This record gives sequence, C-alpha cells and structure tokens, in this order.
Amino acid sequence: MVKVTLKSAEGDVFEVDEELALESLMVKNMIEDVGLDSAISLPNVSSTILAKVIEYIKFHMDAQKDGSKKTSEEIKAFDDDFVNVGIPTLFEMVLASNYLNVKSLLSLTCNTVANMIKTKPPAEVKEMFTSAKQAKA
Amino acid sequence: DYEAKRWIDRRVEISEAFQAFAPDLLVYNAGTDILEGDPLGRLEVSPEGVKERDEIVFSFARQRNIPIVMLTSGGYMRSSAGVIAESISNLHSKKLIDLAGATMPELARSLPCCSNRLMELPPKSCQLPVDVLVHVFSFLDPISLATAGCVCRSWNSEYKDANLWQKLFTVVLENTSFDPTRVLQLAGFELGDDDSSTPLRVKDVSIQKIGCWKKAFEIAVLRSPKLLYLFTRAQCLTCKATFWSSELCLQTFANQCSKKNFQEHKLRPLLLEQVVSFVLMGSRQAYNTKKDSDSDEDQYLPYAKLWEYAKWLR
Repeated sequence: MVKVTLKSAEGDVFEVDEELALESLMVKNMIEDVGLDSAISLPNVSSTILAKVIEYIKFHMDAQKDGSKKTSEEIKAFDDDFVNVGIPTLFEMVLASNYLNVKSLLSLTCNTVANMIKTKPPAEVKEMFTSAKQAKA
Repeated sequence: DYEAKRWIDRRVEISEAFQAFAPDLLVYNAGTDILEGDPLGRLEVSPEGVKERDEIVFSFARQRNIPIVMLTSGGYMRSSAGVIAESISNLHSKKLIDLAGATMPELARSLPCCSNRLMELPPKSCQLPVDVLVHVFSFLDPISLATAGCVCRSWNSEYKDANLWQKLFTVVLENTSFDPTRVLQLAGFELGDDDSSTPLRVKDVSIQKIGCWKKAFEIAVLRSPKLLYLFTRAQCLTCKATFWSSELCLQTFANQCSKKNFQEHKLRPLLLEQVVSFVLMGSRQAYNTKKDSDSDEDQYLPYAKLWEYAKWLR
C-alpha cells in the first residue's frame, strides 16, 4: 500500500494510505501535480483537526468496504458523535473540509451548523456565534 | 538574503516594464498584506522591505517624471498602520513626495484611525468564508433561511445569494407538476416572449428579468402559499418512502433519501393533492420514514398533518 505523508500547520507529519488521502480532492490534485515523493504540506489545517479528518475518512472507508459489519445506525452514531464538539472546533472542521475538499465531511459539518441555526431567532444565533468567536480568540 | 534576492528580482521586473512601455500615469497598488505575520499574505516581508519597495517604485516614477498614485491596498491591521506611515515619511524625507504641510504625527494618527474602521467592517458573528456560508445555507429550509438573513449584515448579503434562491426554484419546483416558470409569471415577472413552443426553463431565465431571486421567491410564495408546503414533505421515488419533515431544504432534494448508498434515490417534493390521494387511497405499501423520530405516533402523522393543512387552507 502506497503511503502519503501529510504535514499539518504545526509541522506534524501524518502518514496515511494513498487510498485514504485521495478522498480529499485537494490532496488528490496535489498528488497528481507533485507526485508522492515529498510530504504534502497543509498549512491551513492544524494537527488536531487533521487527525479528526483522517479519523472520519478512515471510519467511513471501513464502513463502506464489503463485509463491514457496521450498521447504518452505527455510522450515524459515529457521525453524531463526531460533530458533537464546540462551535470553534466545528468551524475549524468546516474550514478544513472545505480546504481539503472532502465532500462528505463538508456536508456533515455544514448540516450540523445549519441545524444549529434552524428554529432559532436571529438574536440567539448571533449570540451563539459571537460567543464562539470570543472563546476562540 | 532571501528577501534581498526578491527585491532585486522586483527591481528588474520594474525596469523591464518601463522599457516595454511608457505610462502616462502610474497607479501603485501598495498592499501591506505582504508583511510578516499577515494571516493571508504569507510573504513574510519585513517593514524595512516595505519601505524599500515604496522607495524603489517612487524613485522610478520620479526619475521618469510620471505622476503616481499610491493606493494602500489591503492587509491593514493596527500593527501595520505604523509601517505605512513610516514608509510614507521615509518617502517624504528622501524628497520623493511632498506631504503638503501635513506633519508626521498627524499622518501617523490618521492612519491607525482609518485602519481601525476597516477592522470593524467584517461583522463579528461571522467567521466562515462566503462560499462555505452559502453551503451551510443550502441546508436550511426557506423559513430558517429567512431567519438567518436577519442575523447580521454579511449573512444577509449571502442569503440573498441569487444562486441559492434560483436553485430553490429549479431543484424543488421542476420536479413537481408546478411549472416554475408559470409560478414566476403568476408572480408578475415578464419572462420574455410567451412562445409556448419552447418551454422556458428556470435556469435559462436571466437575472435581469428577475432582478432578485429571493424577492421572486417571496412574491411567488405570497401568491401561492402552497409553495411553502413543498418544503414539508417529499417522496423517494425509488423506495416509495415518504418523508415528513418541517425542514426540508435544498440539500435534501439534491441528495438522496436516507439510504445513502443508492444514488438513484432522488427525493421529489410532494404536492398537496398527491398527499391527499395518498392518504385517501390508503396506499398501505407506502410507509413512512421520519427524519426526526421523536414521536411514537408516527402512523397517525400523515392524518394529523392533513388536518393541519385543512386548517391552513381555509
């Protein structure tokens, strides 16, 4: 199995299977352009977030493989658990999946953000996102 | 030295450009997002580098007697205002520009205050870039979308995104017996020649004819409130499952039903008439799948909803 080396913003190195890395269209394009020899640097993604993204892709790839015993409930439970994080982390994941161009994760995270907005009055939404920003800063 | 090399390159570039043509006016876009520590620029140029850069450009202009306009472009932060002021004062001291009597302290004061104002422009509640925000909005049903538009100015400008509302027309309406172009015409929009031989498709309707897709949607809903009910139910054509949900959105229709691995499971919005016939015919083979499974009286749900509609339509 060919390995791809990904480098996060902090310079931490993640070694993943090529198959897994190709799930990110951005990384896929990078591999096509520069090849597999050098580490792919992802200056917009922090180590914690990159680790989470990899965890997500890995889980879903395993789940899609034939002979996987994972039920759709289990997958849903994983997804729910995965996005059950604070708004700052969630936003970082949205940004990372947008940057890395991982469609399924982008949908999942954006849907989560959308669900937060839904059925809330504007003032509440505003407060929620402002406090998230302050917590981040 | 890395920096120095780049400046030499720049020098060559400018002199070559001047050889190629003789401009009558030089507009100099002097951004400071090249400064080290800028979150976007990533060029890591030192304040001295900026000073030097401005000096090079201005002396070139001066030597050739070309009028020059300096625009301070982007990258302002409170911290970089001083650098711009520094650089301008440097130009003044080298007699490359004349500040027409403005003293340095004055200049230094004015720059930070205008950069302060610039800093406040992006609303605090929004940290997601525009394209991501529009994507998030595509997960919202029209009512929540309208609410989101009230949150802050930047959200408001994004939620008017023409593409979003146009898609609400195309994706949602084109799958029903509702003719979206007819809906638009009913709402009082002139869509061009009424040549019925060539059926108009919403995606061909130009923005000029509509003006604002959001407004168009608003008017269309006001004209026929039934439109809004399209966002409360949908049917998967392949597995004949019906979704009851108060929050169907663009993405629900663009994606498939809960059985994600079947690409062909496209959701179609259901019309009120279809719901009525569905309930009255008692088509038992159709079963209900819920998105929000918080009630155990699931099987009564269609009937309950039906009563609700009767109430609304009166």
